[in-house]
Amino acid sequence: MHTRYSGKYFTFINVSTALTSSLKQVLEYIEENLADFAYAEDIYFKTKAIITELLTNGFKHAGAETVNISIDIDPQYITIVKTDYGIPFPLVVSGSPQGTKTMLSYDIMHHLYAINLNARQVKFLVEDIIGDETDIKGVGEHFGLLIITKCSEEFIYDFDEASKLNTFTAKVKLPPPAHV
Amino acid sequence: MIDIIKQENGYLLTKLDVTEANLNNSEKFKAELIGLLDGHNDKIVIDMHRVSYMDSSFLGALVAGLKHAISLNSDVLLVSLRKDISDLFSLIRLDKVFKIYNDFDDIVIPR
Repeated sequence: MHTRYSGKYFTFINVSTALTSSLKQVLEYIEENLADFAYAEDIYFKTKAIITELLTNGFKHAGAETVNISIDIDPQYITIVKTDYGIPFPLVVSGSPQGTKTMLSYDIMHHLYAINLNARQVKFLVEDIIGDETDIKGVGEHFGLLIITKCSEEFIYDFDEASKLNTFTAKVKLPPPAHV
Repeated sequence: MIDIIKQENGYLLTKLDVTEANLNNSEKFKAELIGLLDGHNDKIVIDMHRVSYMDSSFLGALVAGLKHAISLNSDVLLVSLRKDISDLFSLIRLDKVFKIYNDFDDIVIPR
């Protein structure tokens, strides 16, 4: 068994035409460093989806000039962190009490919530709704946060009021390493 | 972007000519899909085998297209999704609202 501890930090220009090349750079790094893990295909799928949506959401909503992505791989988790100095995610800076659960979106299949962990952080949570899933009129059209939350063991947003830094942290749990 | 292959008994068979289905082309795709639905009395079948990755913007465009189709008593059917794309549909349960097939031949078209 060979377990890697590794990490890398990327800085990208936040323009839509750079999304594909930015994604490829990060994925190449992950692919190289996930090769030793069992079930790497599932982990690769999840990390690809998370990074795609972090970059896309960053472009659509943050309005920052650059975005930073860091990847850390330890024996238990791959941790993906996106930071920028763009527009803060609106619900966090309200100073809501710890434990406050705010519904961000809902449709016939999913409810997406943000739970205040403290004055500067929220954790995202998805509830699957079981019912008539075939009624297309009741299906939403915004899936970015939903995808990241469903692919993550834990997905947290942090806003630092002093520096105005936005930090999104998504953790993907790694399966036990394969025996050799 | 959506290339027409042929029309067959109420179905318009098409293929999506992009490898990266993302926010750079999602609005154009949505406009083309709605244009096809408005311009034909056919269900639209889209072969997606070329698409290697898809983001939430494009998924939103697909859902908007399907909603438009259903409002016209039509449909949007998808074929030849790569595993990553198929897994993405399953993850957010869009496999419950889209009819998804392995191949054109799996769709029962009245002949």
